[in-house]
Amino acid sequence: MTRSLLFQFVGLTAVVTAIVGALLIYVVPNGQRQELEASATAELSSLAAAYAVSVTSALEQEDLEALAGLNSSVRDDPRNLTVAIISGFEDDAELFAVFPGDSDVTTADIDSERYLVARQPVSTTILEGTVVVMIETTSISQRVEALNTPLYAAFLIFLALQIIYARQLSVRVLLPIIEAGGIADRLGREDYQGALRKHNRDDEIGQLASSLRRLKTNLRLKNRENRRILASLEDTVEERTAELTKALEAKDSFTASVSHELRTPLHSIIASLDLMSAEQQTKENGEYLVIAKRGAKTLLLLINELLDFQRWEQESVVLKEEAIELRHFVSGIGSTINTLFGDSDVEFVIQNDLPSPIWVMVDPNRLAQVLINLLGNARKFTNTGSVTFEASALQDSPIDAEVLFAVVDTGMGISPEDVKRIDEPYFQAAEGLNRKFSGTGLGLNIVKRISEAMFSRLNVSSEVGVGSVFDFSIRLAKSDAVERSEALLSGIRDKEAAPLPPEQRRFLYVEDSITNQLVMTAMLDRLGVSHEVVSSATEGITKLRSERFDVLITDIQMPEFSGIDLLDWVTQDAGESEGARVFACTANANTDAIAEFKAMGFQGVLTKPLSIEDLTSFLKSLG
Amino acid sequence: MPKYLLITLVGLALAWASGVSRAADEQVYILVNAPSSAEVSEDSAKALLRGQRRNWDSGQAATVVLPSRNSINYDKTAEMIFQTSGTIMQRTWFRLVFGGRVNAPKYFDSDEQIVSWINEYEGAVGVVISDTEPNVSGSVQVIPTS
Repeated sequence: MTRSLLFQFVGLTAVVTAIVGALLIYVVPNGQRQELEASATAELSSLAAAYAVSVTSALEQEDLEALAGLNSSVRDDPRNLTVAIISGFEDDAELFAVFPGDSDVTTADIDSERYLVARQPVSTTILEGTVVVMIETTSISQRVEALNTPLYAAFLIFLALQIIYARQLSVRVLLPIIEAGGIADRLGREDYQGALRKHNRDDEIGQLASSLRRLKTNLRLKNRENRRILASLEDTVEERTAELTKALEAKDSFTASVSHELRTPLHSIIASLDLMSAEQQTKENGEYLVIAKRGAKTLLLLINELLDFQRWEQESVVLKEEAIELRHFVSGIGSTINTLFGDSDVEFVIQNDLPSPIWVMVDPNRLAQVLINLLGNARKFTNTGSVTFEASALQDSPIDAEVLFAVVDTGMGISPEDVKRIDEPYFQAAEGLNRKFSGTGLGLNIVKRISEAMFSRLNVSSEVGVGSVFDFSIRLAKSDAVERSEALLSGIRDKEAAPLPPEQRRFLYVEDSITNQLVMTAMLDRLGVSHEVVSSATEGITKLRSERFDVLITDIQMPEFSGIDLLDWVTQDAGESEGARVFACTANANTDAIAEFKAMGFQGVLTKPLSIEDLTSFLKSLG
Repeated sequence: MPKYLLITLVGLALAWASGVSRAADEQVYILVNAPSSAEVSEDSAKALLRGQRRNWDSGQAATVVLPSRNSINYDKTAEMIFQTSGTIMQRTWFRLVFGGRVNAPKYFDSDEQIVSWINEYEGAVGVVISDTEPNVSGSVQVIPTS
């Protein structure tokens, strides 16, 4: 608005001035000239006619006095007229007489631009020709130029007025508007500093200035109020955030505690059952052991589901990809699930159409979790017929493969309304049946989260009384040669099972739970590992400093001093056990916790509940 | 030959003889009524008559008096004064008057009118052709010329 308006105004003023100047200096004088010439031509024509009559009379009637009278009037005319009589016509034309007598006019001048002429024919007995009355155009020019002086003066006056007008308009209107624009801009950027110039005017500009001043004051007050409110809100937000953080920390702490308190006894139960299974049992006791182990593992699975669900409410699923041969992996899942079908009437069919081999990068634990969840649900809700586990490659290239997994059952089916809610947390389609079926209802929600993390989507189609199909497809990158060789080596190491070479190292196990002490002792004895067990961190450091130990496995959560305190003491001074490797043993085994323990200085983390297989793998990993 | 024819022939002969005789007796007189009755030479008078001069020596404007086209002396005056025809004399005087060099002349149909006017107006100069010297007033100078 501002600068362009000023430039527009200046431009307009200049244009108007130029137009007026052109009018006054060019158009008007030219118009005047044309008028004068027209007027002169008319007068000359009239005079030429009078002369023609007089010449005719003078020649026919020998009355030369009238002619002399005309000459007097021509002589007195200030316009410098010349009267000529041309005898003959065209090529015969010659100048017969001219007045004034001393004029140097020739016949050639008559048709030149130097003169404005009027002609009248004359025909007498002694003379035939043309009377020509002439006026030099310079005389008209002189008259026009005489007019120019007042016109120039008028233009200069107009120019001066324009300048004054332009200046007044700029100073009194445009510059205040520009200033107001700048002030409005500053107010728009919440810049309320700087004083506003006072305009002692009672016109519109003065009103505008007053309005802006009021606006600035109001905005500054409002801004101040807003800042106060904002500060108050920020305080409130800070309080709420602190409360929320506290609540989350409390929840995390509760979860960690619950995880530890549930897993620790489970660790004991499962380990003890494993140990008992290794002993000779009666057929009945053997069956009871199987039932007990199954129950314990189911309970562990449920606890893990709950912990996974709780963790994924706050953070996204983290996948740890490694190279696996997918066809073999599917076969393994099938074999594991096959045990669930045992003596039932339901047939379990594995349709593994994947090419062999097909090496892909995937998180095997999470993929197994998804497939086992789906297959487990299919088994749970199918009483007759079959459950089919299908795996096929929709697309296979050297870079990646799109793999389709499907679980088809002939179970009770799911109504369309329940299909929409199937992956809601805690929802079981069979809730209306007074919870006939076990489970937390979190399984499919977990399956959905994992599949989404793998950029896939679980599809469900079902018909009540007929059965259901759960399927999803995922695009998996092909593994390269290095990744495959590492996987193979890892597999080979796993396959190279017991017996372990004799363990020469000496282990110290620090654990406050007597139950866990007994279990660990039994397992270490079974594996032929030389060890001692203490009940606290202080006992542990005393033992370490006084006797040589090569490996320290310590519980974390202990009364008085924790496993972390023990780590610190060992780091400062391990005494006789200098160089011992320190491992944490804990039921709080989420990804973050494990990373934290390693960051503290633990060389690894054993997760409770430990099985003898876990302990065996651990010993192998020590090298 | 019939009588009337003879008589006609004799009359014509007598008229021609009269004209010849008359012509043999006519004289061109320049009449000058100069201002202050000053003596004027023949050449000065002729110069005025020919439009070569506008004014008398005294500076007063001269008025030239000439026979008109209707006068019997029209052509003769043109021949004696301008050595040209009457038409040319008229054209010449027209050009001179038109150019503003001289004043407009007076034209009369007879010598008597010319004489009468010159007698009356001082500053006039004119030409008559007669076999006897014209009767002029005391201030008028008569200059015979050939």
